[in-house]
Amino acid sequence: MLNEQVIKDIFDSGENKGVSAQELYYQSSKEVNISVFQGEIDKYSISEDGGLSYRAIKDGKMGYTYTERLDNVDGERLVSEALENAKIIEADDPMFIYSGSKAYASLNIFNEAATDRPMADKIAFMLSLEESLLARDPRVKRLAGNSLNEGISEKIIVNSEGLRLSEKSNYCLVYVSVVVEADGDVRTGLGYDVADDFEKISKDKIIDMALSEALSMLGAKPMKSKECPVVMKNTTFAQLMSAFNGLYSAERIHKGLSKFKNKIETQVASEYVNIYDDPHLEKGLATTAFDAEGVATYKKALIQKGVLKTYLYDLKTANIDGVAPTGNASKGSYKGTVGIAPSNVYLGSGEHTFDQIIQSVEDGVYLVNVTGLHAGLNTISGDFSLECYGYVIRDGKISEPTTQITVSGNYFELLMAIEMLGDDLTFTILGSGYVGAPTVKVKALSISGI
Amino acid sequence: MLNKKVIEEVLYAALSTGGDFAEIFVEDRLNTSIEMMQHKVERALSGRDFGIGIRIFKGFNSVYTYTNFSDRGQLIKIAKEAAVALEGVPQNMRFDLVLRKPESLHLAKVKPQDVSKSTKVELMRKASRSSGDVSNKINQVIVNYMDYNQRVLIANSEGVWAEDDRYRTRLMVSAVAESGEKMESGRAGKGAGSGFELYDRIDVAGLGREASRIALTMLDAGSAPSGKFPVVLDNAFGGVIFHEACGHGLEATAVAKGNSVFAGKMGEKIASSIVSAVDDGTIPNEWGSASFDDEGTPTRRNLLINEGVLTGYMIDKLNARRMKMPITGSSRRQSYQYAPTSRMTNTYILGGNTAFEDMISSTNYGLYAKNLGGGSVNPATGEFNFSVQEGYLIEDGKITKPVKGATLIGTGLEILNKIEMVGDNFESSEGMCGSVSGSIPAGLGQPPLKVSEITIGGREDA
Repeated sequence: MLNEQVIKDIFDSGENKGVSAQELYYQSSKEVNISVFQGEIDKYSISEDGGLSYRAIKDGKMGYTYTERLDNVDGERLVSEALENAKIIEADDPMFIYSGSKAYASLNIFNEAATDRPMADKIAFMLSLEESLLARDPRVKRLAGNSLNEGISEKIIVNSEGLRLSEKSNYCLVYVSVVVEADGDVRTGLGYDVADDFEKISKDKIIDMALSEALSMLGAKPMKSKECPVVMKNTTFAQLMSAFNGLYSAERIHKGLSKFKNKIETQVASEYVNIYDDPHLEKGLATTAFDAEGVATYKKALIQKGVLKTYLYDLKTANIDGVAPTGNASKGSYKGTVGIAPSNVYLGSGEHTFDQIIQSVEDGVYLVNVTGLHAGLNTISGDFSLECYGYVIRDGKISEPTTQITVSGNYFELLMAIEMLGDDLTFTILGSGYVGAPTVKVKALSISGI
Repeated sequence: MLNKKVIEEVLYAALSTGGDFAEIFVEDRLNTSIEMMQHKVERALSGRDFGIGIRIFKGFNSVYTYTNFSDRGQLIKIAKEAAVALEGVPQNMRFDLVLRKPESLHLAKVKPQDVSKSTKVELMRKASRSSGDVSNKINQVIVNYMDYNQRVLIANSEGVWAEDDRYRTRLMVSAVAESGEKMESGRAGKGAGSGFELYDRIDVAGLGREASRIALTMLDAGSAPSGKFPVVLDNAFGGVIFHEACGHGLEATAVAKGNSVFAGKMGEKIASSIVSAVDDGTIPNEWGSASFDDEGTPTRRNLLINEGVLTGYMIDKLNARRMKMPITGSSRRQSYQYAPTSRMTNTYILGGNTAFEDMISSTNYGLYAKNLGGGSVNPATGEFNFSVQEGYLIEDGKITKPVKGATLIGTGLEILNKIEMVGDNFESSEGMCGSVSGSIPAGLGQPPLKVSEITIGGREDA
């Protein structure tokens, strides 16, 4: 795999070909997946794999390549391929390979003790999860999907500027999608839990999450189209917010792809809004000490009291703006090139209880789910129109469930129209990255139904 | 890719604990992607995916494992490790592997890896320039080019031993128009399951202009209406309605365990009688075509709906056991990192006989959805959504002003019955479809359709 000899061979080959700086990025992972159906193991999967990414600067241009052919890495070919890619680059922004930050945070993201929990316990857990769900309520018909997914991953950065970094992390995720039915109406509910150790996964939490809304949504009907106050469930708002994470990217600002350009130190959201990027968040799934270029990460406010405070930078864009990089260089995997992305992003809690927020609404809706975030929104204009479901709010009380409706608006207008924030910040894995928000009340959005 | 003896040894190792079916999938894939912004190449990446997946069945249970290493020892080791998950004694199965080479259904005349990168860049520049030249309100153009060559070997304990060589290439243009505080975007692109010769028959400059035209049109668009109205969906990517409203619900992944509103409805009328639909993986060089599916079964044309009656599901080997129905040659996966399952290939609503003009002129008030975006569905409830990127109001039988993007929603069983006109000019298009076995190229297409009513997620103009 990535031993000293392989590194040396590749770097020697790069030097011979005249590169001015070069870097290897190695990522490997070990995963286990278990799903059950009707009291038996349905699917079981184990894997161990990885990939090696190489990039190099020649004549000021950065070229990239990667390989998954790890039993026989052909360094010569890797370098030639990257240089061929460098040759066609026309953008003339200076490119960098990093020599390292002064200090890196020491984070608690690898739980060694969790890596050898007996497989039999995990299988038993999943079987009992299915059994408990089916036994809980006669309206629960079956599972539409479920899995226990455990992984350990490691990333290593080694470059010609003397940088050597590595980081190991692990996680365990259990999810279940349950189908409930009454009087011919079918609803589904999703429940999950995530932790750094299988033994910390809570069966009760998963069951409650999966059933609480699925059962109460039974019999939901479309409501009349109208513009009205909208309360969004914490994790639902977090998902919507994450779809607009690209707004903060300095690259998208420079390329004219974000409406946040020229908006630093201006009011872009209501005064209650504080949004943070926190790469050191405890138990955050995007928690990391260094970014994809090896720059040390740190927590920062993106929006404070509604005022836009900073963009997110990698080395290239930071150099263009004459600022320090923010540790937000990102790489989807070894197959990607460096881009910019936040880590764990969250909207800070407000001071209202959930009940206070609902009580403040005379005539509106409480949305617990939005769907189709990959298609139903335009990150450039900010317009969104999304399938959703939830409950009608009448006279300050949550009333009948409603579905087959959409919610539409504009994200930039929505940020300004946030009137209340709950004290219930919760994170979700369902958005883009690991994102959190409290319950959010928006002055008005359009609901389409019948 | 692997020799016969190693394949056999690995399959026998996989069957060593009583499995009744074993399969090996070898993938070697070369990828290229190039990104151009503001007419300059910003990023270029190429690389090689390589890995091997091994799958074992015992009854309804399945085990999957994969690795990047191809030496005999490692493969036998992981096959045995996977087999341990199934307890039992070997059933002494015997099989003879007979190699089936592809019948050259989807040849690449010009292999993308033989085309210089600078030729690809010039192609991109043509699209980029033509997009930018449309108007000085176009302040950004992004062109993405990609191609790949995926070679696969699939062998199993039923004696299947197939090799396939697949090519894909695609060019996409996004344009951003700006005017005062307003920013809008438009997209256009074309792809195929072929080599670089695709670009001889399509007009990339036209794609660039089309992306700009959409972005500029949207600058002047008002809000889409809110509520239930008639909708005329244009051809090509309009097929996303069938893909979401019905296609996913006909995949065995959902049907086998009863998690689809279409489960148990074979032979029943589920759509308006003017609707017939197919899933066809054999169409030469189409986006979702292949000679063999990812289980080594030759692809075929499957009639899904005939004149409104449900006539077929898409079924893979594992779900075929649960459903007690034959496989359909449409089991697919993103890569060796995924076990394959039933997926759509190229899914089409077949042509009808209504002229497009008649659909518009018969509509008093409604929406003409000219360009569609992606969507999603919950197969268990049948609730689906897909987005309109470019729409127009229809008023008094005429297309009038442009309206902004809006999501259309409905439930599969309801919408299929509300298709009241099927047009006569079919066209296909390309999308990426994400599901259980990863993200795969999926062809879609239809003639224009008129749906009598569908919920439009617009905004009330204040």
